Amino acid sequence: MGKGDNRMYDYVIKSEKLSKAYGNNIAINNLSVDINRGGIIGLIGRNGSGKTTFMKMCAGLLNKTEGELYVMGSDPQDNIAVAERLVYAHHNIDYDRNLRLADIVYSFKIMYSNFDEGFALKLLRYFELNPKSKYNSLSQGMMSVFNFICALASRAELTMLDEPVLGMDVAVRKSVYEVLLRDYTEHPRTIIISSHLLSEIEGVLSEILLINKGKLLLYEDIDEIREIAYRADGSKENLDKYGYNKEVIFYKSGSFDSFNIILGSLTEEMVNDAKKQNISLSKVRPEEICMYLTQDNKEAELKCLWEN
Amino acid sequence: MFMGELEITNTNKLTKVKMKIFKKYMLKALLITIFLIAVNLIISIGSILENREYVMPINMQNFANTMFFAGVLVSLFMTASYRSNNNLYSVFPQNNVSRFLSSQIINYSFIIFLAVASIVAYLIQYSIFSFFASTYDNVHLAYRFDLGYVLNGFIVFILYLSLAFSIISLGGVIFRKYRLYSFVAFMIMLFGVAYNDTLKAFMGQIISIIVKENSLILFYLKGTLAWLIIMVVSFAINKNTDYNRSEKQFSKYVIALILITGLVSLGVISQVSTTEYSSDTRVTREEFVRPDGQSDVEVDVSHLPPGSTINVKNINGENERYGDVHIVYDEISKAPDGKLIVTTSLPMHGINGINLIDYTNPHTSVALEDENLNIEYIYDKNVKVVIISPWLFMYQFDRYLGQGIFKEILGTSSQRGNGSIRVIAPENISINLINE
Repeated sequence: MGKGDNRMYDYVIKSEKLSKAYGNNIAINNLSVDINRGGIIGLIGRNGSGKTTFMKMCAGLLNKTEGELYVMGSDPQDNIAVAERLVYAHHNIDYDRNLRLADIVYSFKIMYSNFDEGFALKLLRYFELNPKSKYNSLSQGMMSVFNFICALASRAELTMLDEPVLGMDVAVRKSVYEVLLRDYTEHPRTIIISSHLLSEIEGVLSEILLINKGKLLLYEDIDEIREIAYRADGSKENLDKYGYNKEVIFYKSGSFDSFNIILGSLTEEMVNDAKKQNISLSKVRPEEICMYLTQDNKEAELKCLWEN
Repeated sequence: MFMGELEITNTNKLTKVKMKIFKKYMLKALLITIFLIAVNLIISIGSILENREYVMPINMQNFANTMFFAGVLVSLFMTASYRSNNNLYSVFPQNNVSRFLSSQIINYSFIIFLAVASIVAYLIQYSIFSFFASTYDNVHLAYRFDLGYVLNGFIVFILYLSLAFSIISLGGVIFRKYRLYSFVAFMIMLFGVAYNDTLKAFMGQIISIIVKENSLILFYLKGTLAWLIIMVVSFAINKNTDYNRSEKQFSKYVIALILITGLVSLGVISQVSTTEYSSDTRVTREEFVRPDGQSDVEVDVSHLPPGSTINVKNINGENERYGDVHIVYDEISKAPDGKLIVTTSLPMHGINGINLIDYTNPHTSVALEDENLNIEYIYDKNVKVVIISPWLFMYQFDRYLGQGIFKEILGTSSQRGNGSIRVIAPENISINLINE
């Protein structure tokens, strides 16, 4: 695949052994993933997991250190053909301090051929943003709303929203997700949202891409994720016996509660069998799966905090 | 070849977006310019309306000068802040080519703005003061208006500022490409030029190809070609520069060492390359007095008996500015019989090559009453000479020299000198100078 305009592509983003290092710090580590076209995809990971680095590389704003990266079939680096078909909104967007919101909307209209100015202005009204306000005078939450509006109204083939709800209150966040879902329904395209708050966006996502320490942990359909692991509660001894020969991705053994998170799909039969061993099995929500997959077990370290 | 259709379209779009901000800054720059012009005019018009006993030069601000240096400063700033400036537009689609070209278009729009502002400022100044000159007899314009000069000056201004911009831009592009290596190379080159006379002469010759060209046509050709070459080189280097490249991690000790070396080098170079121009030459009085400013007056003294003494009296008050035209009795020279010769050498009051005395209609009145000779140096008082000289660098073009349309010297100069009235008497007549 070359640098040119390639509208015939299988995956909206395709990376092979992709790495990015800042000096000795490796942000993206040998990441290989093929992200499907269409849908709202959640890029989930803890702080510093490499979400922003990955998005910036896809937007052509950062260079890769090693590996291959194709966005809509082409290398995004210094590539206008790709850049004009994607929009990347993040919470640190810097505009000239003299610019009013209306000026920025007008700039987006110039730069993006599909930009829907009318829709953007309606959204400004909906979120009670004054087009005459200066961008720099907005609060962090309002800036995030405005960036979200511009990105959404761009109607770009690939819309990347990096922590789009940063600083927003609960009510505004709810509205943002609703607008996002409705607009996606009207104008289907690929939207990638990065967040570490999966519980909030779970309802709008079709797929989840989970990364941790720059590595891909999973890329699955949201419904399938619910089936990839289950929770086993019981005494430590019983859990040790039950977990034998099973892939335990997280465990906790405490005075009050002990449980294991085990990879695999949960069936009725498994639940009944476990009961006989004094083990209670239950489904795990996607957010919990992501949390357990990315959480280091620091049980021992935690105990040490209160020891003399 | 250099860029595709997508890049051209993107450059246009990005320029439009940047232009929106640029216009706001231009509006501020315009207001500042208008303010400066207005202040300059108010002060100058105030001087015209003042009543003075002597001739007074009114030096109007050469806005081309101000604009040129403002342009160079802005260019340095824009080049130094290339990345942070572009960060303000990073949300929009762009690449290395469109980013660079749109910045360049903005820069050159700024040059056009400065050139137009300079010419407009000159035309405003000239119109207002030519009105005063035509209305008041005591107001004179030092330089005449020449359309060809003004138009060529406009183009020369743009070309010189473009060359300055392109060189600064090339420096920025090289620095972005090679980072610290370019700084080290620059310091070595600076050392080379400072210490090596051959290199210094070579650099001087390269620069003189343009700055010493006195044919306008050849200047345009050479200037445009040089600008084009610099821009193509800048463009090519920029195109092959990785804009998103992470800064190479140098050890802080290496950076500190390079910076210290750089600072020390600059200090040494500045000492080596500074030429002492302390001038202690005192111009003698004879050099001040214009030889062509002499006039002779003959006074008939044939009716006076031999051995008479004529009392020569200076009518001018002592404190008058040009009253200090001294009367000298030339005892060595002798006038023909029956005649007294009074020779006047005009004083000098030169500003940038213009002798203000020329505007004062100077002459010497000599009247003999009995044996008293009254001498008076007469000149127009309260004369205002308005000096409006537009553009820069135009003294390199021979065709405009000596035509009285602009200041033909670099910098400023002033010359002052007293005049003298020499009285030469014939044989048998003696002179008694009465200095009151």
